[in-house]
Amino acid sequence: MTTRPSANATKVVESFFDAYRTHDVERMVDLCDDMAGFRYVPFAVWGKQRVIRGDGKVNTIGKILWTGMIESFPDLTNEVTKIISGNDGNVAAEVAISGTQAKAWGSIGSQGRSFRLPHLFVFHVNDHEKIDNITSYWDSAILCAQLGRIEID
Amino acid sequence: MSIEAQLLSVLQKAGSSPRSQRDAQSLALELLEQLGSRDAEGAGALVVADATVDFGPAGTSGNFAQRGAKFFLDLIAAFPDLRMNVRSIMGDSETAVVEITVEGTQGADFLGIHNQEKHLDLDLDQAWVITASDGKIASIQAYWCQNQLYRRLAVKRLDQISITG
Repeated sequence: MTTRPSANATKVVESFFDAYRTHDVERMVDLCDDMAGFRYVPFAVWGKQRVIRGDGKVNTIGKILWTGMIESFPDLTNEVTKIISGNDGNVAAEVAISGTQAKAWGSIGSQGRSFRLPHLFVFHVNDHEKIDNITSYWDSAILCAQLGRIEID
Repeated sequence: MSIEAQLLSVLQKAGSSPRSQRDAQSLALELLEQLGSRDAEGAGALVVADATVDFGPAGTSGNFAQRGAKFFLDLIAAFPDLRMNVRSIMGDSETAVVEITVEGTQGADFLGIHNQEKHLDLDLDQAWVITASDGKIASIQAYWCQNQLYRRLAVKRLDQISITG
């Protein structure tokens, strides 16, 4: 088992949020391994016949979600409030994400409202200093309330 | 290292460490074990009374003695078969991040959500950030999606939490 200095993994994660803050999705993807796993736990869009979940790979679902989020919230930004580094490339980040809605996001139509919401991201950074897994948690009920949607899909 | 190996390592450390030396990861695992055993008192004994707790999706935040202890009691009362399944744990000696799946069947009202006697199952992925100081839990910050919980328990609207469909 290889033990990497946690500082390197932390720097990769900090670079990820720097890129997200400047809406540089290509850079976000570039910081990830080609096969990096992606899971946004609360994300679900409920259609009539199927549910689309935020579960897959960075290169497919992750990139699409990040791009869509930036399109829907043109002033989207983030503030990293705490980074926790473990051994073996594990890094968690508590992050406040905020923005003002300009167009529909999933099933949430735009009322021009703003949100600010604490998130927890759990990353794993591999030996090549690439993120190979991202999991994120937040409370969609608060997000929906801030954006003016009261129906639960 | 597999999650099984990580958990075993942390549990072995917890079992062999005097309480005063327990780090955040061993305390986190013991807390979840106590909750899964429906032992709110045992869980509470791991937490300092003035610990900061933030169960944000439940609208519960403040110090443990005033807010957190009641949240544990309510959780245990609402889900008589509560299970706190640990999926991963990471961190350092002072801070643990533990990913869990909370499972159970609703048996009483919870967070204003009526028990419909329909044996609705909860199956909710969460993550808790737990800090330790002097061998006790000094803070708990929990992350989960309350909309997922509402959906599981048949709540339809955020402005009508107590009216279930």
